[in-house]
Parts: sequence; structure tokens; C-alpha cells
Amino acid sequence: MGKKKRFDVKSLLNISSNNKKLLGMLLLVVIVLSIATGGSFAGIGQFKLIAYLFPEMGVLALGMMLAMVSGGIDLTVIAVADLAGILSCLFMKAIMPADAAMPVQILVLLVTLLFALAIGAVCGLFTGILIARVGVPAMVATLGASDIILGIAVGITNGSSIKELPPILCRVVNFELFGLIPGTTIVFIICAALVAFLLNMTATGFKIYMIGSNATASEYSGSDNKKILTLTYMISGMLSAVAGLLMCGHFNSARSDFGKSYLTPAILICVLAGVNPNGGVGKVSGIVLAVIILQSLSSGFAMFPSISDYYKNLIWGLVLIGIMIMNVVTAKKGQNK
Amino acid sequence: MKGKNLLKKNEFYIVIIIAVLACIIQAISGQFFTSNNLVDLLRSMIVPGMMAAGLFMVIVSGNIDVSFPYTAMLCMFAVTKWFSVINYQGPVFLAFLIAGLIGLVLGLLNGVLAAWLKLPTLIITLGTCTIFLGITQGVLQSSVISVLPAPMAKMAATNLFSVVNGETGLGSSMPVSILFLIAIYLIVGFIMKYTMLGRGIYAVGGDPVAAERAGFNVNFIRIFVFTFMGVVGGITGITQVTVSGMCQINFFDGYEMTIIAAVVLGGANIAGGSGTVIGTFLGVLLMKMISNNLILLGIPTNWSKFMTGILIIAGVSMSAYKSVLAKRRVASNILEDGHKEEA
Repeated sequence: MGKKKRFDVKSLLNISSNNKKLLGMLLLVVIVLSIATGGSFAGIGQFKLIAYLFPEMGVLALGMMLAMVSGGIDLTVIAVADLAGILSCLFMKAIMPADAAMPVQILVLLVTLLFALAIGAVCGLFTGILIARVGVPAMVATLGASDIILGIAVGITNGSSIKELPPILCRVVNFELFGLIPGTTIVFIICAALVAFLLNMTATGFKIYMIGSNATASEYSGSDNKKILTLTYMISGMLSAVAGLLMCGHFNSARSDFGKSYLTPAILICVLAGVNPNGGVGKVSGIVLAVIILQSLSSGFAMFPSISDYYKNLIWGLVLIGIMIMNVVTAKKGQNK
Repeated sequence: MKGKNLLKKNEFYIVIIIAVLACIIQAISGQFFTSNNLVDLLRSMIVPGMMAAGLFMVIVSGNIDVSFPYTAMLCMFAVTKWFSVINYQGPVFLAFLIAGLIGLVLGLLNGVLAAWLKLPTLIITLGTCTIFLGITQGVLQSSVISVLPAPMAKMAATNLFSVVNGETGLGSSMPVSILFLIAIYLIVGFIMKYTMLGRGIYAVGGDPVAAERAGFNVNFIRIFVFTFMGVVGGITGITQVTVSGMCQINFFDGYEMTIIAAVVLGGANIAGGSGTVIGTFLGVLLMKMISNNLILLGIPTNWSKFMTGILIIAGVSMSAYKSVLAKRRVASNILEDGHKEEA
């Protein structure tokens, strides 16, 4: 491990070819949108807006990425985000004392965060056991589990939203460090750093990559696939729960269909980031770049009122298919060499 | 085939579950074995049943398609809108034909992408389904069409027969489109059981490499199942219009889940390679029996999503665990044989 750490400093500077491609794309998106909007896209307000909005999608994509790297997929991310958001909002409302002092409020928020993480972990444990122990293919297991989890969320709330949350959540989410960096971005940076640490610096992370590239070989090399897979989905669940809290803070309420529109973008970000849906390949740095690109595009489109919101779906789908085609074509070219 | 083997058949157990459930609902509400409830049940099975037949093929081939509800939605709105605009008066058959053709193109797109990219088909169809949704909502600007073109409205008003429950006075009628349901199951059953193509679909689902070595054109089979699903999706879209008498954007909400669940409940292996068309039909029947009778069973409608999830997980867990056990048995047999030889 000691040897590996020394190389990591170098590898930070040594940007992978996929990330170069992404950086180029980001530059292109920013330049094109800035010209198209007459410069207003490049303003500080727009920068803040993008920085404020991208973490919701980004944290979900981090969870999705972990599952994809292990060779599976986690379709429960949005359901877990919704359920964790709803339950922790109910929890926070219940334990928050009336007109509490600031330190107490922050304490309550921290307890709520732990509560949300626990919910995410339990949901992840459930899907993890289904996949690793019972042997259900990840896709169906998470598809079914997301119905159960979302079903609980709908059942509890009757489909209506939970309002009048304690103001602390909203205040933390809307907090701006140095009046520039939004609270959501800080949350995302922490999550991304933790996931990057897990994947690059720990034995568990190495095993996740191994399962993704060849599960049988990994099993015979002595790693406990079942344990690692369960853990992977638990971490993915916890990340989703964090995203759920971010959404609640953003909308200042909780509802069972907040996450609905995030599933395709989350998968799209992973594919764009160069995560191989068949497992084994994927980097956090790619996710960071991909999510910023996607949010820039999304915010850019929002600046043109003539583009209806419905076209967003069309564009997401086209981009997803386009990127997949591009990845496969470049991979085939590489093989021919 | 008979007697002992019956106990090994998946369908046998589904029939038993269905029978028990029917008796429970009858015992609780006394409303199950009434003429109008049974006709209602069949009527509600038409659209999901047709989709399940198409999806059954996709799943047996080892793929998955989540875009078919959106295919159906797109075809439904495209054709209905177009016919309204040109004030179409000809035979209703043309509506099905055009919808089927649009579905064919969309399905072909899925199939070609799946065969070419060789990436998980879930991700591919998730991408195409957002495109379809974008076209339906953005380009076609669809939400509700309440006045149908004359031929379709006429078909919606035509029924094979109607029944009235003497006790409650509630009536229910059987739409003509039940014939489509029967036809599609006959076609799928025929293809899967009696043609080389059907055998190929099973083979590809079981092991694509082995199927390729055995001489099956794997790419063609992939493209075929998705294209067939597209055609079925298109026709189903129009069927839904003629059953309900209007177009609504949320008709097929959550259908991808429910239909996958029905096919899996019907005993098809989600990893591909096995399943029967009769099982699929029974799976849809079971699914609809539960969702139609949630209220009779005393489960609030808000929890219906939860129930679907439980059903899916129960169904897939059973079949997945069975194969895990089978693998273990094979492994232990090999070990035992080895020991014997050593001794």
C-alpha cells in the first residue's frame, strides 16, 4: 500500500485520456453556451447556480457508479433518496424542540443526518443481500426493491409533500462559504473525496474493482464477494440518502416523487464519466467532470425559455445513446490498432 | 409429462396460488366469482397481457426492455393525433397498422443498438425510452386527447358481449380487442415452441457464446426480439385507446415494472434461457388479480406500489435461489463423485 500512495500524487497530475476528453467537452459546453447567451452564462450568478444544483445529481451518480464498478447497477438510488428524505424530515420535525438555539439545531441536523445514513444503509443492505446472497441479478433486484422502497414512501405520505421543515436544513444547504461556494458543493466534495479514498486507497475498493472485472477470479483469489457486494450497495444507499437530504433542503419540503427525474441523468453521468456498465472501470474524477458538464448543459438550456422542459428528456436520451456509441466506436478503434 | 412431472412445473404452482387467492377474495368480499368481476379482470388483462407476451420473448433472449410503455405511448399519441388532424374516416385497421410500423422502427432502433453496442440492454432502453418520452411530450405536445377519431371511437364502443351482475346491478362488457390478446399469445407460443427462431431465442438466452457456436445468428435474434416488442408495443398503444376510449399521458406509468414483474412471476428466468408463454399469461393474471382486488383485500391503494415490489422480489428471489441451490447441488455431486473415485 505504501508504494501505491507515492504513485498517487503522480497519477493526479497524469490525467487519463477519458478525463482529457471530458475537460475538452466541458470547455466546449461553457464556450458555446456563453456565446449563445451573449456572455451571461459565464457570469458569477450562473456559476453559483450550477455549483448549487449539481451535487444532488452528483451524489446520486457516485452511488450509481459504485454499483456499476462492481458490475451491477443500482436503480434504487432515487427511491432511497426519496424515502430517506421523507423519513428524516419526519424525524427532524419530531425531535426538533420549539425555538431551539443554534447549537441545538445543528446537533439535531447531525442526528438527522445519521438517521438518514442509517436508512440508506438498511435499504442498501436489503438490496445487497438480495443480490449477493439470494443471487438475484442486480438489475431486477434493484428494480423490485425500488418499488418496495418507493412504495413505503408513497404509503407513508399518501403522495403528498411534507412541509414546514425546521429551517436549519434549508439554511445549511443554502449556506455559502466565502459567499461563493454553496453548502451543497461542500457536501458533494466530502462525498466524492470519501468515495475516491474508498476506491483508490483501501483494499475494499480494490476488491470492488476486481469483482466488477471478473467475479469468479475475485472469488477464487480469496475475497469474500458476498460481503463486498453487500457493502457496496450499502454505501450506495447511504450516498443516496445524503442526496435525498440535499433535495429536501433545496425544495424545503419532502415528497415521494422528487427523485423521479434523476434516474436517467445519474446513469448518463456514469456512462459519460467512462464507467463501464459491465463493471471494473470507473473513476471519481470522471464523475465530477461529467456531472458538471451535465448541470452546465441543463442550466444552459434553462436560459432559453423557448426550449420546453420536455425536450430535456429527449436531449438526455440522445446524449446517453450518443456517448455509448462513441465509447464503443473508440474502443473498437483501439482494438484494431 | 403428466403426474410426477406436474409437480415440477412452475405453472402448476402459479395455478394453485391463483386458485387460493381467488377463494380468499371470494371469502372476504363475495364479489370475485361474479360475471362482471371476471369480465373486468379479463378486460384489464388485455393491454398488460399483450405487452407481457412481447417482453417474455425479450427476457427469454437474456435481454431486458424498459422502453415499451413509451413506445406504446408514442404510437398512441402519434396515430390518434394524426387521424384527428386529417379527420380520418376509413377502417380502424389502418390505425393498428401504422402504430405497428412506428413501433417496428422504434423497436428496430433498440435492437440494432443492443446488437451493436453489446452494453446492458437496460441502459440502452433507458436511453431510448427518455428519447421516446421527449418526443411524445416535447415534439407531439401530448397530454390528453378526449375526442377520438370516428373509426377508433366506433371500435371503442363495440363490444363482443356484455354481462350484468344480477345482485349488484353492475355491468361489464368485453371489448373486441380481447381477440388481439389471444392472437398475440398464439403467435408468440407458436414462434417459441415450433420454430427454429424460437429455439434460437432460448439458446441465446441460455448462453450466447454456445448459441453462436451452434450456428444461431445471435445479432439477428437480438434485433428480432426487440423489433417484435416494438410492434407489439405500437399495437398495444392503439388497443389501449380503443379499450379506454381516450388518450392519456399517464396510461402506462410504471408499466415497465409491472410487466417485468408479471413475466418473472410467470416463471421466466430473468437472466434468460427459460420460461413458457402460458406461465407468462398466468403471471399477468395473478398480477392483475392482486392489483384489481387490492381494495377488496383491504389494502389501501397507496400501498399498491409496495405490493408490486414485494411480489417482484418474492418471485425473482424464488427462481434465483432455486438456481443457486441447483448450482450448489451440481458442485457437491462433482465433489462426491471425486471422493468415490479416490476411495
